Amino acid sequence: MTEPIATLTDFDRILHSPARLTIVAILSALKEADFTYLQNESGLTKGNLSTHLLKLEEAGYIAIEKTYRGRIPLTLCRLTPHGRAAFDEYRQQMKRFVALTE
Amino acid sequence: MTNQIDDSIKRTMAFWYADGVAELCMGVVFLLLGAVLLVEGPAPRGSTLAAVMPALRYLVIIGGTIGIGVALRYLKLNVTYPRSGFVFYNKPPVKEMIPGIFGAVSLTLMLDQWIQVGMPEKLSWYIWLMAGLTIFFGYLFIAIARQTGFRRIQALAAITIISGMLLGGTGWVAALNDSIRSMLLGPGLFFIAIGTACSVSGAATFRGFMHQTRSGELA
Repeated sequence: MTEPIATLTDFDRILHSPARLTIVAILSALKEADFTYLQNESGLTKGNLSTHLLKLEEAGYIAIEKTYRGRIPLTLCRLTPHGRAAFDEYRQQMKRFVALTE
Repeated sequence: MTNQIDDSIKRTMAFWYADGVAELCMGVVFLLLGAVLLVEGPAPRGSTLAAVMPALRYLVIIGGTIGIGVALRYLKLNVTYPRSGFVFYNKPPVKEMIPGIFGAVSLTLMLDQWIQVGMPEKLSWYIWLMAGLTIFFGYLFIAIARQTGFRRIQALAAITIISGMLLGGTGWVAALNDSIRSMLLGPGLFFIAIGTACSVSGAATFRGFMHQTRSGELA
């Protein structure tokens, strides 16, 4: 296996899913965002988004806080320092891979 | 994939300007400032109006800067976010805020110094002021346009630069040599021009955003 291809196998499997990567990329630019915003921006269904958020939370990449705004429930998500570090590393790895294969 | 990641981040950062509220608020402050300068210019020296207007100018600049933040927060929390979903941005690090603070303070001092010291005497001060205003606000809109990729912000940058260049031309100001104070008309009209452009652009974008979210495309 050549080095670039071997690099592929080292990718973070949690982030190496387009849906989860999109969620993390959105959250990386923000302090926090709620479920509705993430759904609008990612284009995922509610169920699908819930599943991916749960996986990211289990990995410790995001923190989810359930709160209220007035009487309306609000599910706020934010990237943890661990998640930000993993995302930064993933981006670097991706850039290295692209540079090697170009 | 790296491009897609970058696009996602860029879109998220640009969301702050997606509803047009920021432009609308900026436009209102620019219009107020322009109106103050237009009234201040022809006011006879020693009159009550001439004494009051500088204080009003400061009030609009300082109050406007604070007011934009308060109005934006209120409108985003009560109008935009309930429709689009709630988003909270990170406060920029102090290091990144320094150029903006420096620019705003410089602009205020430049405007004040120009009016207090240079304006009554020399035409060249007028040219420098218009050049400064054009560069400052032109750069501001170009920076926002680069960050967001919105064409309407690019158009605002173009309108700012064209307005500044046209109003900075000395020909029509020289014609007002009966009262050099009339040179305040230049900056006044400049702020009216960019204020109108910002307000129209912001209002149209806000209308589109409300329509889009009502029809369920976002919400």
